[in-house]
Amino acid sequence: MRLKSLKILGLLLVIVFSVSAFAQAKVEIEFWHRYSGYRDELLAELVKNFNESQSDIVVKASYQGNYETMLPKVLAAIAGGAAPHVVVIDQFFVGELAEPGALVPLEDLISDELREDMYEPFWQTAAYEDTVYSLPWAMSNVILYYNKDIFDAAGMEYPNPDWTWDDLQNAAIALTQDTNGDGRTDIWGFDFPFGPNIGGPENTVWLLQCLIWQAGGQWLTDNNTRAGFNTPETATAVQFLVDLIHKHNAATAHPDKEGEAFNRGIVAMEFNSSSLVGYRDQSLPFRVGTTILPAGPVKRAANVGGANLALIDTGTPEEQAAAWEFVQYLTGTHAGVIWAKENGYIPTRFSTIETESYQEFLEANPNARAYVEQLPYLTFRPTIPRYSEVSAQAYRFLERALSGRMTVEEALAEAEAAVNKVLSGQ
Amino acid sequence: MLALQINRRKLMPLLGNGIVHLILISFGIIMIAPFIWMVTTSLKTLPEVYMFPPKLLPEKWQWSNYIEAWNYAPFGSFYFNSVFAGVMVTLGQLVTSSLAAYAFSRLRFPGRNWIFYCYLGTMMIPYQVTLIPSYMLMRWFGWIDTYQALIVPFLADTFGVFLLRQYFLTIPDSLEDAALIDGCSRFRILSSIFLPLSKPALATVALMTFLKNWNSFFWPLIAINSMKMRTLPVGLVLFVDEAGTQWHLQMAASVISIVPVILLFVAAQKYFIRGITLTGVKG
Amino acid sequence: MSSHVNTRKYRLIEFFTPYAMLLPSALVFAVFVIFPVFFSLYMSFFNWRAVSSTREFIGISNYAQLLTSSEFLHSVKVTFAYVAGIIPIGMGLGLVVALLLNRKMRGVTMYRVLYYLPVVTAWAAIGVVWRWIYQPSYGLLNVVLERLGLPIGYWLSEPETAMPSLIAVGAWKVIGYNAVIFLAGLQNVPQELYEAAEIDGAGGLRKFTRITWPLLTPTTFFLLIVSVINSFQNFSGVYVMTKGGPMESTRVIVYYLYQQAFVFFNMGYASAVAWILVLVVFVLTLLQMKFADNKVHYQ
Repeated sequence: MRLKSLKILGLLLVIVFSVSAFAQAKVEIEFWHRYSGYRDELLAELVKNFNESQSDIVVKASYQGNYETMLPKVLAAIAGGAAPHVVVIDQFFVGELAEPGALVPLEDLISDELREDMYEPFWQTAAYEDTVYSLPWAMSNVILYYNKDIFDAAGMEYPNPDWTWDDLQNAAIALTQDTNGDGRTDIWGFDFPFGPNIGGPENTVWLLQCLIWQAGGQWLTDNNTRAGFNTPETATAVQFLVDLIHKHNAATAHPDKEGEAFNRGIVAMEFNSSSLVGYRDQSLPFRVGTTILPAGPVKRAANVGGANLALIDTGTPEEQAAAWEFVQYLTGTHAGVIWAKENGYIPTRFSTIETESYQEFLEANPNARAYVEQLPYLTFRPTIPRYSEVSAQAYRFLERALSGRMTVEEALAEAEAAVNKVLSGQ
Repeated sequence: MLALQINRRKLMPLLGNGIVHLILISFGIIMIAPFIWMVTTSLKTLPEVYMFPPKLLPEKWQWSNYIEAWNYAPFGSFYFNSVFAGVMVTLGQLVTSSLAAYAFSRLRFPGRNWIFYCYLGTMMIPYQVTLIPSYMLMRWFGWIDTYQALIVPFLADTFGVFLLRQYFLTIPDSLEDAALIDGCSRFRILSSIFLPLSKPALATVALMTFLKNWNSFFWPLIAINSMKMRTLPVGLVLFVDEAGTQWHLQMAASVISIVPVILLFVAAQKYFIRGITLTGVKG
Repeated sequence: MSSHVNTRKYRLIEFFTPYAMLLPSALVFAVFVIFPVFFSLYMSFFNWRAVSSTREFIGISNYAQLLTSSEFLHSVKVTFAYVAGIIPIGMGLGLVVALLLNRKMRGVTMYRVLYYLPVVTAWAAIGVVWRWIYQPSYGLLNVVLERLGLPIGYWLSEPETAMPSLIAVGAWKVIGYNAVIFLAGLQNVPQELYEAAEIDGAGGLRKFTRITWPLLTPTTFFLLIVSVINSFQNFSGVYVMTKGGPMESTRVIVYYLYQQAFVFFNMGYASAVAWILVLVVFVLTLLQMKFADNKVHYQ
């Protein structure tokens, strides 16, 4: 009798322990991101929500530095076999990581519903050779910022969605002024921040590409194996900017720091990322307006930028499945709205945009509407493996053209040669 | 005639000193101007930072910047990690370098010269070339995100060996001979005779090692993942916000990270200077 | 004389002791320096991109490519320009400061500390401040220059002035160190020599050229070698202040290496660049040592 009850007790204990052990066998995944400050806190909140909303997965999120320092870390980690499960990577690095097979292809995991719920160009930024490797997440595009106070002071009308290059040029020329008669320009009509310390070559090329596409040019051709920008159309675009800087003296020509010229209130208009909207709305001492980019000679275009979520091919199948869960949560409607609202990133899914909460946000934040209005005109960068090197080579010559040290034709020709060298495997 | 000469002898040095002070102070201002600028900026508000023409002093001293900067990230942990790693690395190098320096300066053995040249050679290697293989080593040992990664690869450095060897060369043989006759082992000679005599040089090596480790950036960046294990320079990186740098906070954070180093240097500079000079001069 | 000195056991211990003493440091170096260096040499013979699973053996192609690459050769030129600028200025001014400090007067300690502050500060902390000082529109330098009625410049923002501006900061950061070392060297010169010269009627300049300078040569030589090695490896300064620009005017070899390795992930090629850098520094150091044998005077 005694023995039997002991055995039953023993069995019960075993069951209880194994059940609790099982329950405690949570899958742990690591998530590396590149957002600091308030964005870091926001992410921490979202991650906490996720962890608390279910009991199988625990996500550990960590800030790994800005995109520049993050990338060497990710690469070193992958090379050393210590990679995180989920990572935030800039779009132009997707090819870099996908080509050698470091990422988990997501094609089969994406339901048709999800596919249709996102804007097609977003998918293009996330794919390498037609296979999707990442989920678009923190997307931005290029919009036109303007300083309302400067326009008001000059009695001019604000830029509007019907503007063309001509309108931009005329306004820039009219607004450039020497307000205190000391012979130096105090207010610039337009600002095109370029220079090594401002997001680097990639940022400049990203902004410039908007103009190029608007003029009907292209960047790479022949299925991304050759440079395609040595064309009259591209020359038109670059020349437009060069003229604005050097012929009309209506744009700042010397590299300034981190887009600060606009932030300091001495620039009337600027092309820049929509992700700055939140910050600019709240923190600048003057009134800021935004609108979509002016139309070029051929069409309207705006470049997509930002970062996607990618799954690195590491860890156990459970961990990878958990990672996919987490990634879906982050890009889902609930988290998506929070992320977009607090951030200035475009909600990547139509269903997110259409939520009441987000629509209210748009109502209350007119400056955020520009990037939503631009969705039909989005363009994207090729996701080839050596993209950043291509940009860097092109930038070398574009920098000289923008500084007036090389003619546009020369610069494009040299850039083409340099880029082709990279693309041909050198 | 004689009277004139005597006056000149007395006057010239005084005048000379005055002029020298003037030159040194003016030049000295250039030396510390950036620091002053850093401190005053750390006490401004962000709009004040952008003001043009810039004002030297802020309207109101925003000491809160320091609190905000400190809270931005776990500076307490950063400090601890930097200090802990720094101390361990320093102790380690003192041990390994004094051993090696003694061997090179006092003992004769086959291969001594070319081994020494090999040691010197390692000083010339830019760390970028060893970065990824070293990281792989960390992975193989399982040391990523641990103190070992911050400490073990740096337990030896040629600079210390070089410095201490120079210093040991100036210690007379006679001290050693006496001890040898008495049957002391080489190790005992090192620890009981050489080390106590070499305090300035050791202090120098300790200070310079600690400093180099305190300021090191790239390696801790890739070898450490989690916030709690980060070191101070990497923490500074946190302030590069995407929406435009928060200059006032970044300057405050810079000040926070420099102050301990400066305090340490000022407190120990006597040893430090004496140590460098004794070793750098012997060629 | 004790007899134990001549026992076999003693001789054995004597034989192994040096190696035992070298073992700790040698072990660390072998594992964390020598092995990685040779591994990266190995990598330099491959077309090795950071994450690639396929690595092609391409022999010396990387080396051939970089020796004919206009970008690499440009960075060599830039690096030499930096070194050629910073060594005379840094050491020259360091010597001047040391000479000034080498007097009987008060405050020497304070000055030493003051001048040494830039040396102990990390580039990460102070480089950003300098970038700001150099800012053409609102930086401290131009504001001061304008106040004084002097012409302003574009400093780090124009290719012509970027390198000199960088050299100026590099020198600023190293003067204190050079001064301290020179000061020690100066203080080692026996006073009697000066007194004897004064009796012979030698003036300041003569004293310097005949006594001070020659006796300073060991120190100068030491500083020269150290300075060359260090300035060749300058990276953090460039990274924080100019990122190699504008228009590659400050892109030193080490920065070029960093770009190839960590921005473009051409690890094989980058490893080759690193090795060439090591060779260049090695050759330069050897040359200096040869030169020194002829010119350096020891007591």
